[in-house]
Amino acid sequence: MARLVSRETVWGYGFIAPWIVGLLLFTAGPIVAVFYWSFTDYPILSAPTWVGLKNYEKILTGDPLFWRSIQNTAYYVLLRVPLHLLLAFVLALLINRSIRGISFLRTAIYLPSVVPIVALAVIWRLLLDPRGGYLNYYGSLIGLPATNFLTSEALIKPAIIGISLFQVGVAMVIFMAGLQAIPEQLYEAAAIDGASAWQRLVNVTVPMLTPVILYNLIVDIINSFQVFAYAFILTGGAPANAALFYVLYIYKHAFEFFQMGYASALSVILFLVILVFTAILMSFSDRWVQYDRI
Amino acid sequence: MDETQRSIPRSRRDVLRTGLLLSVTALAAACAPSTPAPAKPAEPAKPAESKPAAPAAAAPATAPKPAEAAKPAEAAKPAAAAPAAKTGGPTGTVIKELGRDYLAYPDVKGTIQFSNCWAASRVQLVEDTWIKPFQQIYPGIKVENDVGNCPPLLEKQTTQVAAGAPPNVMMIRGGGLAFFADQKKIDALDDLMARDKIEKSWYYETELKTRMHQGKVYGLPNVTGGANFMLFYNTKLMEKAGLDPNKPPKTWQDVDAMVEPVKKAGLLTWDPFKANASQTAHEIFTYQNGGRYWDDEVKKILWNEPAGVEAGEWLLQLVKAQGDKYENVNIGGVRKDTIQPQEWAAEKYVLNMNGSWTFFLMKTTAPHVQYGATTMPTNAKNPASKLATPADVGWAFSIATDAKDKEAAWEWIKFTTTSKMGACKFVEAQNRPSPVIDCNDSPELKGGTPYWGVVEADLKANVAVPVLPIHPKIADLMYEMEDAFLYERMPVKEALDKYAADAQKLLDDHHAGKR
Repeated sequence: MARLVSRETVWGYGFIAPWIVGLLLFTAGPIVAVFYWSFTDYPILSAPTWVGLKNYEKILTGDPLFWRSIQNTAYYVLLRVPLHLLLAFVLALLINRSIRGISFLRTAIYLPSVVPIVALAVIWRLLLDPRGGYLNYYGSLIGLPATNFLTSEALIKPAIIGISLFQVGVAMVIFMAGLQAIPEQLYEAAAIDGASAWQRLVNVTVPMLTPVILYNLIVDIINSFQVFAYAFILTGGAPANAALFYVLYIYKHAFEFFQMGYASALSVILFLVILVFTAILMSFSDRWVQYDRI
Repeated sequence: MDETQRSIPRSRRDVLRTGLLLSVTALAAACAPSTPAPAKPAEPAKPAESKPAAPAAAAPATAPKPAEAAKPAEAAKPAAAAPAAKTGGPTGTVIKELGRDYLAYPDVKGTIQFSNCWAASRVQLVEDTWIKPFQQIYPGIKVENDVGNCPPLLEKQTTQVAAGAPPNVMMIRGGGLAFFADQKKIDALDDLMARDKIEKSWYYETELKTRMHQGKVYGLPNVTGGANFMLFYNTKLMEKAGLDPNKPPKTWQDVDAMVEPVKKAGLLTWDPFKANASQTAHEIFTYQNGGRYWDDEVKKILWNEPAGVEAGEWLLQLVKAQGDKYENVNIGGVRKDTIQPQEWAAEKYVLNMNGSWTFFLMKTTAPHVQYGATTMPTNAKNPASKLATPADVGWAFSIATDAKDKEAAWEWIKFTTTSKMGACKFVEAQNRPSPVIDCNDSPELKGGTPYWGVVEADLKANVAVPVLPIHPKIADLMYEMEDAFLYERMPVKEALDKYAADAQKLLDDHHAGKR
């Protein structure tokens, strides 16, 4: 039978055509170009010249900062993703109820997610300032020693992770939407069976939320691998490259050293890493994600 | 159901065809030029075609008095202008200012995209001392002030140049200038300077040197790259620590002697590592200690020689004496940035290494702070140590090779970097020196700060440090090296040697033509 579509469908495709153009022009095109440039020496202002695998060879065998940036980024991903998901989940549970002032609370928690990251970074820079910052000032009132988060090799990454957790709003809202989609009857049935609040959480809420958890997990991992703005604005990768995250390293090669070919090779590696992580998560997802329990 | 609302069956192929057609149409529309494609940018207008002396330029024949010069509207008129003699060469208007003549072309037309980072409190200054007076002289030139912050300026300009739409006047410095020049994306100005009788000797030698690449001038300086490192001291805090505010430290040893009394007063002496963009503290103190970072041809790294090692060791011990670890001494903010007035105005640090712009910024943003200024301290234990302030960067105005209206751009550059109004008044209002030597004879400038002698001494001690297009990578290594010993990952000598070897390899590869 011939597959037929309606006039509405044609119009639909027509309307999304600008988006398709945008995708081809501003996303797919650059992606293809990056793959090509990764095999070239490309100083931006003059034509790229083919160098084969030289960029990859140098990255993997002769670039200690590549490994440093991998190490920093892995630290960030491993610590930030679980903390961020947990915080978003807990906040979603807390605000998924009808109590007085809940709208204000939801807005307050969500607000940092819509504030430009540059503005947030500048505010945090002032808060964390070792001499006049509010954090150290109030800390000193209760006898805490002044701590310079931004110039301490040990503290800079935890500080950036901590700051990033304030942008928990989006994940929280997605969790909340998932929570609201769980049928009430399941909780009623569990309550009739004598399940405690904790048991309802573990045996009803969490399993029913696993598709949302998977989505948030994948998005969070991708975002965490791409951490850039806070490190760039707060310290530029300092101190002693302790905040030199991977994308910041790509940026340095692209726009400080003007080695677009090398930066492209770094980008391809990041793409592959994220692809592998996502593929692994997806392939194992049917072991723990429960899509069809309702 | 109405006829028009009825669904018309279509195959998937039809749909895809329609979608593709629309996409291709939109792509074509997006890629098509909005106006007919411009021809290759015209060569700068032949000066001979310019009509001599536009009305504004032909005006008074006598130099304005200093009081007049302070008023932008009046001062806008060239100090003295007369139709150029038609000698067969270029015909322009002779501008007689500051005891020398040069040619200008007030009837040039065009638009200037002035890409710069004279932001915040300097925006109004740019308007008053540059744009308004310039447009009075050049009514046919429109100036678009494209101002932003300094750190991303180079990235933005690079993107514009790569996209084939560069601004015609670019404010660039150091490695950026070498990079653009090396890629042939900015014009050498030597021929234009010769045509319009602008002498290289009007500028401090080191100032012009830091705007040159392979022997050619690629930008004219609008502010000094020198006078970047002076020692500012908070007189109130010195008194609080029991120190004589009339005797600021002159040597490294004087600074060492301050540490304990300052500590007892609950203060910090100095964060010496907060230096300046692209110049590390170690570089600055190595030069103070009679050393150099590399040779004049930029072929041999020299920072690990004894003067550099001694400088590194002194810096580290100064930090440790104050607070054991650098995080206890750091003034805040990104180390590559200069100390902002508000950071020092918090009055926790007695000393602050900063440039001549500090006078203006302290006056406008922290007028309550009582301070003095002196030259950078030297090492009393080393006879070779003397006042020597390295300058590998200095803002310049350059013309993008692929830009439009390059003749207008050149007139703007001449005005802002050579004329009395443009080159002198802009910096005079900031109490900072001009790269144009004659500007600095101004009584207003000398009377603007009691520390003008310090500024002049600093300028005289300025050492031009040549840089290569790969300077950003070298600078990155310099910071890594400093981090290595500052955070005590390696002893000073070991860090200097290791990174000297890495930098040497970069230089060798560059000179061998490898990227």
